[in-house]
Amino acid sequence: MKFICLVLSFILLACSGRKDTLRFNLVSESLELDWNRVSESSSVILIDNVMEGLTSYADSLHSQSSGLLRPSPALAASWSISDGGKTYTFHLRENAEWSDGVKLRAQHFVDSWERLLSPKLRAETAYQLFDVFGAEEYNSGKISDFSKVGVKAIDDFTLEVKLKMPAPYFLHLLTTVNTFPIRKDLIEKYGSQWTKLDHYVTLGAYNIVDWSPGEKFELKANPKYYGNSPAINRVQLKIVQEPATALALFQSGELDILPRELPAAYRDYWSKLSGFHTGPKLSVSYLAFNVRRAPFNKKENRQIFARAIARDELAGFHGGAYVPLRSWIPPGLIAHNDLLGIIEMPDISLPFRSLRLRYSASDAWNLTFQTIQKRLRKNGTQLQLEPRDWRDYQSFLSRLAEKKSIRQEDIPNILHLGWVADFPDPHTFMNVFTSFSESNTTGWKSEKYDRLIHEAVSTENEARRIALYDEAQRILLEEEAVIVPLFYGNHQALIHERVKAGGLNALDRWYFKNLRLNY
Amino acid sequence: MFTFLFRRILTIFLTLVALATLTFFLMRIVPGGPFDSDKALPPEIKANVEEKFRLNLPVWQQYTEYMWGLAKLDFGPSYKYIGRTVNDIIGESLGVSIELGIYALIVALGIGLPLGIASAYKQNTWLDFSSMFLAVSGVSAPSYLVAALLIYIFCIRLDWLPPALWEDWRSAILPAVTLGIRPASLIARLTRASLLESIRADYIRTARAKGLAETVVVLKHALRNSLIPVLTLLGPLTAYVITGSFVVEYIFAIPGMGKHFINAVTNRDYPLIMGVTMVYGFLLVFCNLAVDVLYARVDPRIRLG
Repeated sequence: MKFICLVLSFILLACSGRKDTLRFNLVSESLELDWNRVSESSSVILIDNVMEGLTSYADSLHSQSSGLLRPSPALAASWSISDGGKTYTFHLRENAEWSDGVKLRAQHFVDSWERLLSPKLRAETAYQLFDVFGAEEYNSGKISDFSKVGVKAIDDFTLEVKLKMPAPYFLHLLTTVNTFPIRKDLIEKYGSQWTKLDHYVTLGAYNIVDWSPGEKFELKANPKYYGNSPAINRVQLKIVQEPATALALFQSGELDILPRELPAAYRDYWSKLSGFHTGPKLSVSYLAFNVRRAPFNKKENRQIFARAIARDELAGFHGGAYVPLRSWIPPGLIAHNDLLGIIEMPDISLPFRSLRLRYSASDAWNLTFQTIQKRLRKNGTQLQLEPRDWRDYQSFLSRLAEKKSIRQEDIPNILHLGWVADFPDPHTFMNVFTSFSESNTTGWKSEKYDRLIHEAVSTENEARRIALYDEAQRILLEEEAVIVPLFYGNHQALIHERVKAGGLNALDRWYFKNLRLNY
Repeated sequence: MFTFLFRRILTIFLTLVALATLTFFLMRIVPGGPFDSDKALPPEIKANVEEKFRLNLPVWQQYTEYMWGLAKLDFGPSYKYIGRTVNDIIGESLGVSIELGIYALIVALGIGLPLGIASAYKQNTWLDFSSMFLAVSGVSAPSYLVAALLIYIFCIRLDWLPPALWEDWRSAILPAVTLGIRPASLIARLTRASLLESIRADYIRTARAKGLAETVVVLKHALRNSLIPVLTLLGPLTAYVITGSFVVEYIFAIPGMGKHFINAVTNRDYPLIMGVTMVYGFLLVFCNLAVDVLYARVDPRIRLG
C-alpha cells in the first residue's frame, strides 16, 4: 500500500507544472512545414499558430448566434477595395517582425505568391490564388514573366492585388496558410532544408521550440509577436491517431482538446460529457446522378429518385457527425435556404429495374447505403452497391474529371460524393456544378446556371447574391434535380473544462492565442 | 561453417531482392495512386507533381531506378512527408521500435520462464493448470483486445498508468506488456514441455539418486538443458516483437516504425512502404540466421556445413 501511495504521489507531481500548457491532439502526422505547400489539416493547425497572413479569423471559436465567419485584419492592418471589387490595396503592420529580427515587408508576400504559383514548385495548392489576375496562366507556363501577374509591392508596407474578376470571398482566401508571406532569402540559402527547425523563421503568435517526429510538437509564445502576447504560454501538439486512444487520454487528463471525430462505439459516453462541443462544418455529402446515360438522362427520373431518399433514418448511422440536409448550401453560409430541395416521399414506387451506386467504403456508409438499398427493393428497384477503397475511388474520380481511359458504361448511375468549403462563401459550393468545374462529375451542363453563378460572384450586394443563389439552387435541386444532398457535416470535439472556449470554428481552424486556461 | 554462412547470406540476398520486386509491383497493382485526393487537382498541377516524383515514367524504368537506389541503401524521398527521405523517417522511428521490442522481450522472459518452470515443477496441480490456461489465453488473445483490457484496468479503473504516448518509463509499461504477452505464453509453454522432458531423462534420475534437493535438480540440472529450445525461439521472437508491434504502436500512439507500415499503405506512399518492408524483411531473415548460428553454438550435436 505504501508503494502504491508513493507511486500515486509521483503521478500527482508529474501532473502539476502543466498549468500554463495546453495539450492538443493532432490526428495525423504527415506534417508539412512549408506553408506554400500545406494542404492537410494537421499541418494547417500548426502553421495557423506559428505564422499569419493578411487576414485571419478574430475569434478562433465563432459564436453560434451569428454563425458566419468574417475575415479580420491580421498582418494587413487595413485595406481598401476599388475598381468594382477587382483591386485590393493592403496596408501592412509596420511593427511585425520575423523571429530572426527582420521586419515584415510587402515583398515577402510577393515572393510567396510567386513561389506558390511557380510551375517549378509544383505545389498542388497553387489553385488557391487562381482568382488573381494572370495567376493561372503563370502557373501553367503560359506566361513566364511574374511582373504580369496581379500582385505588386507598392512600397515596403503596401501591397496591391488585382483580380481577374470580383471575388467576394477573396479576403477569406487570404486566411489560408498557402498565401502567407515567406522569406525568399532563407529559402535560397538553405534550399529544401529551410523547414528544418534550426532554420525555420516565422512571425506568428507561437514559435516551434521542439519537434519529436511522430510524437509531438512543442510551441512557446513568440516574444517578438506584434500583437498581445497569448494567454497560454506553451502548447503541446500530441500526435495520436487512434480515436479510442485519444479519448482515453482525454479521460485521464493527458489531452485538453480533441478536435476530431470521436469513436462511434462510445457515443453514449462522450456525447454526455460537459466538454463535448458540436457545430456545423461547411461540408455536404450528396448523391450525384450520371446524366449522360439512361435512366438519369431524363430529369423526371432524377426527381422521382430524389423523393425516395429518407434522410432521417440514415443519419443515425453516423453518430451525430452528419445532419440531414435537403438543399445544397449548408447552414453557416449566407444563402443557406432550407426550404429548397425535393421533399421526401419515401414510399413512392420507382420505375427503375436496376441501378448502380458507387461510394467510398466505411462502416457507417455501408450501413447507410444498405438501408437505402433495402427500401428501394421494397419499391421495386434493385440497387447495386459498389463500395470502393478511398484511394481507388479518388483515382476513379480524377480519371472521370480528366475524361481519360474511362468508358461510358463504367460510370455508375449514381456516385456518392462530398464537398468541403475552401472558404466560407456559397460560391465554393455553387461553383462545383458549373460546366467548366473539374469537380462536376455529373455530365450536366446549363448555360443558365453558369450565368447565375457568374452574376452572383460578380456582385457585392448581399441580398442580390442570395436571390441569385436561391434561383440557381432551385434549378440544381428541383427543376433539374442533378444531385440529391444528403447531409451537412457536423464538427465534434471534446474540450476540457479547464480551457475557456466558445463554439467551434466552422472551417475547423484553431488559433491558440485566442484561448485561455482556467486552471 | 563458412560455406554455410556464405550460402545463407546468398539466400538472404536473393530473398530480399525477391521481396523488393514483389512489393514494388504489388503496390502498383493496388488501385489508387499517392496523389489522388478528395479535391480534383487541375490536370497540369497533377502532371507536375507526378513528374517531380518520376511517376510519369514507365513502371519498369521506375523499378530499375528504385532497385539501383536500394543497392546504395537509398530508399528515396517520401511522397507524403514532403522534404523528408524514407531513410530519415526510418532512422527516427526504428530506434523506438527496437526499444519497445527489448522491453517486450524482458517482459516475455520475466513472465514466461518462471511460469513455465513452475508448471513443470508442479505438474498437474492447480498451479500448472492455471498457468497453462493463462498461457493459452495469451497466445490466443489479439493484441488490440489485450491493450484495451489493460488500458481499461490500469488507466481508467485504477488510474495508475497513462493510457498512451511515449514519454517516461511509466508509459512504456502497458505497451511492453501488451506486446510481450504472446511471446511470454510461447516461452512458458515451451519451457514447461522441454523441462518435463528433461526431468524424465536418465541423468536427472542419477541426480535424484545422489540425494540432491528437488529444487537443485530442477533448476540446476534439468533447466539448463531444457533452455536450448527456448534460446532458439528467441530469434524469431526478437523479430516478432520488433516487426509485430504495429498494432501496439498504433493503439498506444508510439512514434515507432510500425505506424508507418499502416499509414504508408493507406497513403500509397510507395517509397515508404518499400523502405519499411525492406527493413522488416531484413530483420526477419537476419534473426533467423542468427538463430541457426546460435543453435550450433549451444548444442554441440549440431554441425553446420
